[in-house]
Amino acid sequence: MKGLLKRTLVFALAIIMVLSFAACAGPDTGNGEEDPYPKGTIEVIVPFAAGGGMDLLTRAVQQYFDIDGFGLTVTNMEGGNSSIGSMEVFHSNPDGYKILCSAIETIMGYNMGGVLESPVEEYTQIGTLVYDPHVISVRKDSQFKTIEDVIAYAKENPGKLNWGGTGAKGNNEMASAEFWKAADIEVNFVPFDSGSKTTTAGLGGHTDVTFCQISEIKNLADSGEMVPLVVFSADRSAYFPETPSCQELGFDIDNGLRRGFFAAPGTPQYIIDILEKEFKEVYDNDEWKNLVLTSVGFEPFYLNADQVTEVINQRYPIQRELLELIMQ
Amino acid sequence: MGTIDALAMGFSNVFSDPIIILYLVAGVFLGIIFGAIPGLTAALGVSLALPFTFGMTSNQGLTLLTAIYVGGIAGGLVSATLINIPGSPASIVTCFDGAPMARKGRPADALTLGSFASLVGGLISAAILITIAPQIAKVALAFGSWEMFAMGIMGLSVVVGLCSNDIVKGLIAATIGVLLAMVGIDPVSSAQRFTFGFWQLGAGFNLLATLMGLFAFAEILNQIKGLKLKAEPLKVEKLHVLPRKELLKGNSVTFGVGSIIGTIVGILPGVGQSTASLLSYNQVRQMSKTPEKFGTGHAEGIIASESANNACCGGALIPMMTLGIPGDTVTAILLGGLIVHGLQAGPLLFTNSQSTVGTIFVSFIIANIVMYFLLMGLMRLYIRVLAVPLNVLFGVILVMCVVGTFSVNHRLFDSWVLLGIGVVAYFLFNNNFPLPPIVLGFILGPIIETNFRVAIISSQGSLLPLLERPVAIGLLIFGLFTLVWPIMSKKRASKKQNVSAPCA
Repeated sequence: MKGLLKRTLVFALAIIMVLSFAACAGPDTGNGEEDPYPKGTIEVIVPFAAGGGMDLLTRAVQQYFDIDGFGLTVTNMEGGNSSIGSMEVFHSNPDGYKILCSAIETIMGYNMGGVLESPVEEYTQIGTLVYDPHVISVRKDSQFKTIEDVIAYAKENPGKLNWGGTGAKGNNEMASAEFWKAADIEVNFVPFDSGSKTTTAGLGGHTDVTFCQISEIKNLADSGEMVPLVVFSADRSAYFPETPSCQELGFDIDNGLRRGFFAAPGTPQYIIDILEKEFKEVYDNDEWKNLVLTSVGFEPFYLNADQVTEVINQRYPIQRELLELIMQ
Repeated sequence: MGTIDALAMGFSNVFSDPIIILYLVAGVFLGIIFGAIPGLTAALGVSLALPFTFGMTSNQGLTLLTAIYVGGIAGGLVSATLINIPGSPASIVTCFDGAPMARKGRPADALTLGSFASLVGGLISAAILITIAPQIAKVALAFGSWEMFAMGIMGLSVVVGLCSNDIVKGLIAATIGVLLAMVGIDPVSSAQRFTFGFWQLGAGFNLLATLMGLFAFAEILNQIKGLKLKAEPLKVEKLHVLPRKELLKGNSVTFGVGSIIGTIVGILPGVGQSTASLLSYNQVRQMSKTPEKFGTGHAEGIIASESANNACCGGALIPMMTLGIPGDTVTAILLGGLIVHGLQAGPLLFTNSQSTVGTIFVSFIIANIVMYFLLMGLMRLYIRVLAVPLNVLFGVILVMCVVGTFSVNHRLFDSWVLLGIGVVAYFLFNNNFPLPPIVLGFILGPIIETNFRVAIISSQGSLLPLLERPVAIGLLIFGLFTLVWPIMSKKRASKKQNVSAPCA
């Protein structure tokens, strides 16, 4: 009996050891010469818990990613509004064996939060694979039926409309501010510490409008519990064909989370080229596209490394201005 | 009608596929092991299993995950009872009465009672989940920031109940807990607090690392002082399949209260099992005829804690299935398991995927029953942990704690947090500061703070809207009552004789 207990413990310990350390088994590259890459599996840090949008996206990519027989492993490293996992990659060896799943807007957010110094150089861009536009929605028995109702109410009662979003001084608030500026309204932004709390508060009527990404309310909108009023993409979303886009309202806004992959600063160009090519191949796979669109809830959207840099250069001054606006 | 169809489909799904039965039993077993080993949690077990479920059918995958969840939450009671170290955060409160009962030479009684309470809690929450899930999900929506704030305050007032012999030190300990929880990025303003330039502290102290530091490492340091290398001869009472009648007599209300509080707390997003069992423990203590016996190995205490933490699982499934909003970390992972198989969680799940709904219902019920029989069947085996020399046992537990905290986030930093907090907790304990209030402060502090601030922001700085919230006011008044009552009753009692509640 005692032997069995001991064996069970030893066995459990062994399993845990293997599971924990298998993820860290990337080989280190000693010299700066063009070593053949990759020589092992590539670890993707997902800065959110298992089961979330970023995690599912990475795992969908994992199923199709294959460079010379080497694939991806996924490590969830949550906390600090994704900063813990992101910093882990930022401080890692620039050898291409530890990369980050994040969004362009999130990366710019660190920059402005004073965590990182320069807008383009802090991470080495690899590319984006999906776009998750922001959306403004209300619960089904709300007094607001259209976005015009919301704007009219906010104009009559400046600062009275409770506008729920996730995180303070972050992407949600900055993107909201872009809308407030365009519509010339003043509202009361209520920050929640997680997306599920934002939607719960909106559903329960504790806030007047809910600001989040399409993937976060897709299920609730399909069942009619929440009504999307306007999406922030340039065109209407494939998920909500009935809902107008910002452009239709005459606002020049195209904002959301462009999610993709980033490597540590200073990662050699030849490694980036290899990764970029493989991610593009995954993107071009229709099976993958279908999986992401139907199950995970993101619209496929490809940008290569240069295009990501371009978006950062174009969006950064705008984001900066918005941040100043909400800091007032 | 729809529910009965779903259940029928669930039963046929689960029992027609032998692999599902296998996953169910294996999952519960694995869960119990993860739950019972300090440092490894149900959440870790479920997240390790998640990638494997991608290759299974949706029914197989969901059954496996549900089984690990149920086993993992229940398994924590084993180590909480036998070695006074909670196997997982959910079982902290079980230590208060489970461990004293075991020390009095009745480990089998404590374990049987705890397992039975887990079973009852699980089944009652399953009944609520199956019959009125869509209706009760609205409870989650009715709870706004003011209500969550009031609930946190009510929970914190338990401190006084726990430590009525030295309220000042209890309050200091609770304050230390609140301060520890403040470290990191503040969710309401995104400001960095108490990080002292360490980016690793941006997310604050990891919950598991802090809890294991307080309860496992500090406890080990403490017990080392009186360490006897030779284990004392083991006397185990006769084992029974059901708890002895004396333990159950007059406690049926306790089972009900624990299970209902557990289910309701489970429905609220981001609150969790440890808060559920704390609130239930406090409530049961208030209602008890013998509140002074709590903390000394009292049956009601074990029932309150274990029925609530397992009922919390069923509760957390309610918003996950009806709204697509997870009640805790494990259901967030389960949600991922649904999405990967192309299933849409939320109100449409009940109309579009009845068969899946039925499978989750049935596997949750069966997992609870399997959990009970596995816990009972294995009892002879794990009760022998008490016969293992402590110098061996402590070494193993410490290794598991370090590995467990590392594997939560793959950061060695968290393991250092475990050791650091353990050393501080050791000194606090030896200066007669009780440790449970620190955990209370650590878990409830952020709930109180963020919800109060969000509520104040929503009301544009005014406190008046609180008066329009009957639920919040009711909870606050109850909290006040909890604070004042022990002091009053103590004064009354001290006139007759000196009675004081023990401080765990």
